[in-house]
Amino acid sequence: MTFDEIYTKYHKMVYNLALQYVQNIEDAEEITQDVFVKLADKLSSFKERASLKTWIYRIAINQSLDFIKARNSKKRAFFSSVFSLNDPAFKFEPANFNHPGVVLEQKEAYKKLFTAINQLSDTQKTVLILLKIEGKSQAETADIMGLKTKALESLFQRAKKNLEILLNIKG
Amino acid sequence: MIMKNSSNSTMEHVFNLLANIQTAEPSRNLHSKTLKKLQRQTTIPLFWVSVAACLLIAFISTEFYIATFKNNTTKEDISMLITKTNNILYHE
Repeated sequence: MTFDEIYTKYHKMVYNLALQYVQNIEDAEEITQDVFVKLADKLSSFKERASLKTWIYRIAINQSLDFIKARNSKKRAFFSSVFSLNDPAFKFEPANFNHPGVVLEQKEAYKKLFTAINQLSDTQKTVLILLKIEGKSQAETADIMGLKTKALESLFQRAKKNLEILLNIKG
Repeated sequence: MIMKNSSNSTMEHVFNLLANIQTAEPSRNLHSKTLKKLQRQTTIPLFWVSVAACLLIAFISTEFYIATFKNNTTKEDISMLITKTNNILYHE
């Protein structure tokens, strides 16, 4: 499969996955570009042991998480230099919530929901995105995340519980 | 129990919201932007090319200097070993 063929087949998938992490068109496009640059670089080393789609998913997830980490560390450096703060619980907040996949009338509800999701750990966030937004099966998600199905189930339960707390649903 | 049921139904609503997120279309120029970025990555920047060239020149110059310096010392060493012929006659 050539690079162009891979791009044509998977660029929408990568872009949409990145969007769920950053909720911003510009950032998602930047991540997509970086994913395909990495893909072009690593394509020769790709082994057919894993499926190409799973491999691309893994690269896209890692790239999105790296992007968020880089942005967080930049923000943290700025805040700690200005306000002498060094809060380890500093979490990603998109520059502006600009998710083209959400209905405009429910934008505020989604904004609140993603603010809570952004506060979850990387793995909890990923499990929610793959299972509930991307609509992947448990087996597919476990394969992408390199987990056993049982471990994935307990990870999902933890993510659900934490999301409930963050959304103040639990009484 | 009632509280748990209500929390479960709210979480169901939350998951429904997540499932209803539409697939978005990336911008048309994303492909060209990606190719440009790829090209930038594959071509080595001029700065690094010049750094590599400078290092190579420095390395060759050092080697040349060391080689010349070594040659000189060996010549000196050898000349010190060779006994100089004395042309003065003892019993003139």
